[in-house]
Amino acid sequence: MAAAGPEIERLISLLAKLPGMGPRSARRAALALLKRKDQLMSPLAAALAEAAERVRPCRICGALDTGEICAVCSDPSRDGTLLCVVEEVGAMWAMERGGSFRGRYHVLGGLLSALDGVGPSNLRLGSLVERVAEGAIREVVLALPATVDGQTTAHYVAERLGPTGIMVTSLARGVPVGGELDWLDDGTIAQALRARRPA
Amino acid sequence: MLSARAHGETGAIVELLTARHGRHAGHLPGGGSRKMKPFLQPGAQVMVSYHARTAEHLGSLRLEPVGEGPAALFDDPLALAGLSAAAAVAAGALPEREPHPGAYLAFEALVAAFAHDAVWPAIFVRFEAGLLDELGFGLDLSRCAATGATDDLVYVSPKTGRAVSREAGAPYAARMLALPPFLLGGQAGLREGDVAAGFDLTGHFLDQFVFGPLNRPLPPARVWLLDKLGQARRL
Repeated sequence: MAAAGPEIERLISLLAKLPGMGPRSARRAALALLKRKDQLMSPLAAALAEAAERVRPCRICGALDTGEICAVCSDPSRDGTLLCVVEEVGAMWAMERGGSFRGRYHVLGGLLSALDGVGPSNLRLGSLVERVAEGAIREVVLALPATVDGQTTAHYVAERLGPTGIMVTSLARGVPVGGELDWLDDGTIAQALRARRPA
Repeated sequence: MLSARAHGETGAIVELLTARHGRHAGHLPGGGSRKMKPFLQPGAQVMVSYHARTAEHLGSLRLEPVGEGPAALFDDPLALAGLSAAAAVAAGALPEREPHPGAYLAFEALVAAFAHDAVWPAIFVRFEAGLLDELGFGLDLSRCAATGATDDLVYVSPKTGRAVSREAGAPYAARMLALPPFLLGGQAGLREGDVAAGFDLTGHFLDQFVFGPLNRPLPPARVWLLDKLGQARRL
C-alpha cells in the first residue's frame, strides 16, 4: 500500500531509476527534496528542465554541452593539433578531471563489439576521419578501455587513420599511481613489465 | 570466460565455459566494480565457485582470476578478433549446462595458441572441427566415403561430412568442399588457401547442423574475423 500520494510515488519511482539509487534511497531523496522545496526542489526542477532543453551533443566532438559547439571545442587556448579519442562523455570528463591533457576530444559513442553486434557504422568514426583529414591535427591519442572491445576499437581506429599518415598513440597500460603490486592482477603486472623503461 | 554483461548497477551476468559443467551462466555480485571488470573479458581464465538454491535458477558466482588473460593479446588486432570469434562460436554452439570437456580443452588450447601468430588460424579451424565433433556432427576424415581409400583425400561431402578421395570426388568436384591437408594430421604443412578452405568447411557444417537449426546465422564475430584474416592475407 502506498504511504504517499501518486505524485510523490511517481517522484520516488523516477528517482529510483537513477544510477546509485534504489527504492529506499529514492524515498529518502524525495523526502529531502520535499522538505527543502524552495532551497533544493524548485532549483533542481528548474536545472533539470533547463538541461533537458539545452544540453545536446557537440556538433564537432560529440560531447555534451549547451551550445552547438562545446566549451572544449570552442576554447581557443586548447591545442588543436592534439585529439583524444574516448569511448563516452564520462571518459572525457575523467581526462578533464586530471587537467593534464590540453588538446581536444572526439567521443566515439561506444566500442566495436563483435559479440554484441556493434559495428563501425554504430560509432562516430566517419566524423573522426573527416576531422583528421582536415589537416590541423598532428597526433591522435586513443584513450580507450584496456578491454578486448576497447583495444579492438583502438586497432580499428588506428587502421582507419593509417592512410592519413598522422601519428596515432594510445594510453600506456600498467601500474596505477598508488598501486601496490601485491594487489594487482596478473595481466596488469605483465603489461607493466612489457612497458618498462630505463629508471 | 565467454562473455559478461552488466546486470543492475553493480552486478554482471557472466557466461563461462567450464571443464565439468559446459557452458554455464551465473550472476556475479560486484561484477561492475573496478576490481572485477578487468577479469570479465572473453578468454580470461578464472577459478569459479557457484552457488544456487535450485538447479534451475541462476546462481551466484565467485571468481578468482588465473594468469594474464586476454591482456596479453591487446597489441595484436588479429588475435583479438580471433578471441572474440572463438568466444562467440563457443557461446552460440554449445548448449547450456551440458558437459563438453573436449570443447573446454580445445578452447583453452586455442586461447593459448593466439600468442603464436603463424599457426593459430589453422588451430581455430581445428577448434571448430572439434566443436562439431563434440556436438555429434564430427567430420569423418578417416577414409573415402565412396571407395574406402585412405590416400589422396581432398574433398568433403557437404551433405555427410565424410571425406572423399580425389578420384571418387572428381565428377562432383564443383559441389564438394575442399579438405585442407592440415585437418588430416599434424604433420601436413599449411599451403596458401588451406586456412580459408578449413573455415569454409567448418563454417558450412556449423551453419547446417548447429546454428541453422537454431535459426541463427554464424556469429558476426566469426564473419569479422574472416574479413580481418583476408585483409591480412592470412587465409
